[in-house]
Parts: sequence; structure tokens; C-alpha cells
Amino acid sequence: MNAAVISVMAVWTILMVSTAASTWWFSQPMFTPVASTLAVMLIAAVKVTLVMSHFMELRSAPRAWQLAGATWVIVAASAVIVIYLL
Amino acid sequence: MDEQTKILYQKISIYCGPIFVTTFVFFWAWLGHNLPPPHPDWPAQMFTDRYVNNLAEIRLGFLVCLVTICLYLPWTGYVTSRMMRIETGHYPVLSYLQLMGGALTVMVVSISMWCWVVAAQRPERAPEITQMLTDAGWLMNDTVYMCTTLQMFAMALCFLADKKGRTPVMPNWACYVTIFCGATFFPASLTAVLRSGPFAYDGLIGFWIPYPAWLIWMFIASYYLLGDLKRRAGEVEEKVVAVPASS
Amino acid sequence: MSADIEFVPTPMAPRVSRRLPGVEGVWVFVFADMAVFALMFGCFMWDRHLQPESFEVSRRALDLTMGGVNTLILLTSSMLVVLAIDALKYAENALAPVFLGLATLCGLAFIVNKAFEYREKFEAGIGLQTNDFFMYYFIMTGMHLGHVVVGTVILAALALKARSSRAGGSIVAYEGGATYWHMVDLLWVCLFPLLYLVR
Repeated sequence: MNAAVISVMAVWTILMVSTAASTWWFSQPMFTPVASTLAVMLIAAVKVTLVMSHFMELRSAPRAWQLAGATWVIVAASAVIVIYLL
Repeated sequence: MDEQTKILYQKISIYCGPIFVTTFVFFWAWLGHNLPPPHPDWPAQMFTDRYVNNLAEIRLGFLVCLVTICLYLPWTGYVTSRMMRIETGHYPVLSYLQLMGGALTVMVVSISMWCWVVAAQRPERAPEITQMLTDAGWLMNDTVYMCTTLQMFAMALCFLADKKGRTPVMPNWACYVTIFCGATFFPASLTAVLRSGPFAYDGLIGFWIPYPAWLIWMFIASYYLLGDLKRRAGEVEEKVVAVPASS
Repeated sequence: MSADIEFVPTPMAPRVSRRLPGVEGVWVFVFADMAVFALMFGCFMWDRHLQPESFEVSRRALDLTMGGVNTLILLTSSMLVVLAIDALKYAENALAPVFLGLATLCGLAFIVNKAFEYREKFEAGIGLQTNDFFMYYFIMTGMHLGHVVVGTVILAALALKARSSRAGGSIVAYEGGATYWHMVDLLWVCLFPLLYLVR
């Protein structure tokens, strides 16, 4: 296994574990709705960033495309969170 | 027909595209009171009021646009012949698909405006009938889009495979924008079911994305078609000058 | 100065400086598509803000496990696609069709899972016009499912291409398909918490 494969497997493990945590742990009633929603949305934003940088290979892409990806994550996540907190 | 005349007619055909878009925005959207569109959940009387209060403008808008929509035809004709230069041989299937798609697009958009012209002809009738004619016009556009989508897909696929010229007719990104704009029509089918919210015929996904996407695509495509024509016209001139010199 | 750079040991992979995978057009398409979905996320959250009780009650009718498992399926398929591209880049061509085939199976599994989920809803008498929450649920997941179907067909085609004698040559087609599939994955990573978990 080369270094690239190891890093892909590491990212995939993080994605799987965080999905499981969002789905089956943060949805428990012991968390307040606001805490659970914010945690789940922030985890989703991190997951999207990981997919963009490591799967879509944006981390080695030209700066303009990285900026487009970052803009999408920030705008989408902040819109969702701001409307949620209104 | 000499080369200069041919080039002139080709250029006029391409310019018909953006001219159509401009007239569409002015007569269809602005004079026709389609900006913003009527709300599908209005009571019937409000549809009648919309016609009665703006009767001259709506009549003029759609009657003029029913004429200028046909500027889409020469544009489609030019695109077809340009595609055939790429898709050479006896089976130019993409070119034909684009030709049929473009021709039928004119009919779809015309029938939709024809419904509204009928509605405006006798606005004192029962409001439910005016409401139905308005709905029918919108649903014609919003559910019978596939001819246009196929026209756009065929054009994009052909220009993506263009290996003939030193410079392709349209750059790679513009071909994918064409595919995207064609695909934005698909959610418009929901206008047949939902009468309020973003998927209704006055909504964000039902109106504000697909209609501008179609018009913006036409500007982008016309821009690159004109550039391509300019390059070809230059090559023709070179040949015309070069032939007598060599003989 | 330049002498320093010459002595830097090159890593195992020949690193091309700042390169976008595939052709530019696929990326333009992907970002345009993602922008439309982002607009729908905003519309959904806004309508949820206007009628929070109805949305929360309806959300509880969704099956968290099915949605969560579908997320895991898509993430795994994306990882397999990365491995396939990697195999093609390092000339381990025999592995690429295997990874792409497995990713295709993941796509099919997602579709089957979604079909069961929809059937469950329809049998419970829930449909597109039940309320605004289910309107968004069916339309957003339905549009995403359309993307999954297209993506699965692309993956299957690429798996066949990777098996054929024409597997070599340009990697651009594979990278374009991969980028599209990662976008499908990414959109579900957003849609799942938005519909199933926001409370």
C-alpha cells in the first residue's frame, strides 16, 4: 500500500465514524435539539470538506477551484445554521 | 451565392439568437407581466384582473413575441449546419436531433403564448376559464421541455467531440454549461403537481432557475458561435487570396 | 536558491503542481449543480423555520437507520472510486475495474435501499403532497436519486472501459466520472443530516 492509499483509508474511516456518531449518537434525546443540530451540521461541513479535499482532489487543485469549494461549504453551512437559529 | 454573402447570412442567423433573447425578456417577461409570474394558487378572479388591468400590454407583448420567437429558427439552422461540419458523413444524428429539438422548442413556446393570447382576447369571460388558459400556457412550457433539453444535449455532445479545428467551436466549460442548463428544466415537471413554494411555476426552481438558464445559455452559445464564424471567415479570405496567387 | 530546490527528494508519486482532475467543464457542471442544491437547502430551512412543529413531527417519521446506512454506502463507494483512480494512475490496471465494479454495486445498493424507504412511506399513506416537509423530502431525495442513477450508469460504463483493451491512455474520462460521483456523495452527506437529523 502506498502513502496515498493509506491517507484515503484514514479519511474514509473518519467519514464513516463521524457518520455513525451523527446518526446514532447525536440523535439521542440526551442532547438538546440545538446542541445536536449544531453538532450534526458542523460534522457535515467537516465531512464535505474532507470529501472535497481528499476524494475530489481539490487540495492539489488550482487556488481558484479551492476557493470555489470553500465558498460553497461556508455559504451552505452558514445559511443552514443561521436560518436554523433564527 | 458568393462567399461573402454566405458568411453574411450565417452571421445574421447567429445574431437572431441574442436578438430573440432580448425581445423575449422585453415582450414576454416585461410587457407580458411575467416578471414575476402569476401565482398558481391565486383565486380565479385575480387571473382575470391581471389581464383586464394590463390588457394592451399583455396583448402587445405576446403578439410581438409570437413573431420574434421564430428568430430561434435561423439560429437553430446555423447550429445544425455547423454541427454537420463536425459530425461529417451520412449519419449526422446529433445534428438532426438538435434541428428537431430547436424547431419543436419554437412550437412549445408558441403554444404557451398562444394560450395567453386566447386568454387576453376575451378577458370578460368566466374567470375559471382565464385561469385555466393561464395554467395551460405555463404547463406547456414547464412540462414539454424535453425537446429543448435534447437540443442542448445534442449540441453539447457534438461540440465536446470536436477534434477538427485548431480551436473548438465552444470551449469545454461552455459545453458542460449547456448540459447543465438543459438539465435545470427537469424539476419544472413538478409545476404540474405543486401550486406553491419553490417548485411551483412561479417558484425558484420552477421559474427563476430554468428560464434564465435557457436565455443565458443562448447568449453564451451565440458568443462562441460568432467567434467561430469570425475564425472561419478569416480562413475563407486567406484561401480566396491564396488561390489566385498560387495558380 | 535554485540549488536548494534541486536537492529536495521527490516523493514517490510524481507530483504535478496544482492540477484539476478531469476536464474543467465537469467542475463547472458540478459547482452549478451544487449551487442549485444549496438553494434548495436554504428554501427547506426557511420553510422549516416558518412551520417548525409540522417539520419536526414529519421528520420523526423518517427511518434514521436507512438514511445512515445509505450515507455509509455512498462514502464507501466514493472511497472505492478514489482507489480505482489511484490504481489507474500507478498502472495497477487490473485493480481498477474491480474497484469500479464494487462502487457500482454500492450505487445499486443505495437505489434499492431508497426504493424500500419510498415504499414504506407510500404504504403509510405519505406522499409528495402530505405536507411541506414531505414535499422537500421527496423532491430533494428524488433529485438526488436521479443523480445516483446517472452516476451508477457512469461507474458501470467506466468499469467496463477499465476492463477493455482501451483501458490505458487518458485518465481524464475516469476522473470526470469520479468527480461527478464524489459530488453525488457530497450532496447526500448534506441532505441526510438536513432532512433526517435537524431537530
